[in-house]
Amino acid sequence: MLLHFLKQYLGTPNNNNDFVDIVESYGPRNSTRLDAYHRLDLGFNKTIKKKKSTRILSFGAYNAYSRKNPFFAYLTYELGNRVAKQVSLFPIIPSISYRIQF
Amino acid sequence: MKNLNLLLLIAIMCFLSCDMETVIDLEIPAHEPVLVLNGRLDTDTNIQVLISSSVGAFDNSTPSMVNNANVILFENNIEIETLTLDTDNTYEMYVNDGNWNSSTFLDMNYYVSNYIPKENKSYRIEVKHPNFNDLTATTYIPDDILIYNFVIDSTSYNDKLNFQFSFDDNANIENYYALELKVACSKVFEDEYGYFELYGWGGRIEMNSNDPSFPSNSFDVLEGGYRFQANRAVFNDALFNGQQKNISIDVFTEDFEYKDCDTIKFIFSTFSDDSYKYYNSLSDQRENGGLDIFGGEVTPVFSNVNNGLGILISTNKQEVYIKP
Repeated sequence: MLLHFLKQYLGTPNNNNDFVDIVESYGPRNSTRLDAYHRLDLGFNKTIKKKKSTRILSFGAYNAYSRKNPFFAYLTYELGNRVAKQVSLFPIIPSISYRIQF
Repeated sequence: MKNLNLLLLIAIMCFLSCDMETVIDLEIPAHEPVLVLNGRLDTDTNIQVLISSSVGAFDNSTPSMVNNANVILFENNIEIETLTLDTDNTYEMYVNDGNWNSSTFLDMNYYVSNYIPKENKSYRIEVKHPNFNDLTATTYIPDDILIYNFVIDSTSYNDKLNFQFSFDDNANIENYYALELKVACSKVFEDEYGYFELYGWGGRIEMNSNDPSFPSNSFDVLEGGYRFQANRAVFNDALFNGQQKNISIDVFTEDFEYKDCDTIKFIFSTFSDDSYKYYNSLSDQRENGGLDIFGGEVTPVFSNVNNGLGILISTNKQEVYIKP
């Protein structure tokens, strides 16, 4: 995760103001990137042949190493401190199925 | 036993997958501070610039001033002088965090020069400091504008005054203009006890116009049928490049009586495209203040500073006195 913005003053001389603004500089377009998305899906079948049918027992796992891929990110404040949070969906999701083919 | 292990594995996986949504803290890399230059050069005052350093957007600290930098001024690429820190004049400035919630004040000292910049010249400022990358910024001060055909109509309307004037736009460059009307007025009136009191007021007066070059303040037609009502008009020459431009401004006289004012002047400024982009982008970013980088398309504030942040802008301000 790369966040690329800075706070800077915009006090401009000679304008007779008694305040200065703080603005944020975000850096170039697309300079802030979310983490890369990657995952591993695994599955295997066990086939059992019977006289009149074939039974298939399937095991699988979506996102086998439970990678916390970014869904979206947001900025918030905790105890007065600005923090960046990332929301991730779908950790490892196991699946099992049993099929009977005639 | 083998089946038991399999069941245990499936149970663990089911348990893990129950929490479908997780929120994690993002790690923010540490920021290297950079120099920030803020300065506005104009043809009426000596050069003053502020040098500060930036902080990361997740730091609680506020940016601080840099008081031991080497600041060098160039005019048309010829070195003029090194600016000195004005330690005799310290300005205590309120630091606006964007929401006016801050309770921070900061002492600021300008780097100053006695040199007054001239129109039709370009200026470069270089800032060197051992702890930061060297920074440079360049701006150009446009030429004077000749204003003519100035007419004040105070008789055609009961409730307003009309000001008209003309100027010629330079076709060779993109020109940017700002127009303000400033007054200083006073009036003697008799109060309810029979005493005579002097009431004075002044400042910028609201101008009304239907000039197509002026930015429209509203989608609706404003009071009096105008599309522009503000005390400052910032516009460019896109609609009259290289031509004679006639400006017509109406001012309502409900609070402004021509005869009560000792001083009435138009402040007509030309400024560089840097300044135009800076003010517009700053205004846009302020309007989108509720957004953050993940909340929508934010507007970066324009910067013409190389190897740093901030802005160096320039104006050529002319005051056209109507009174005295």
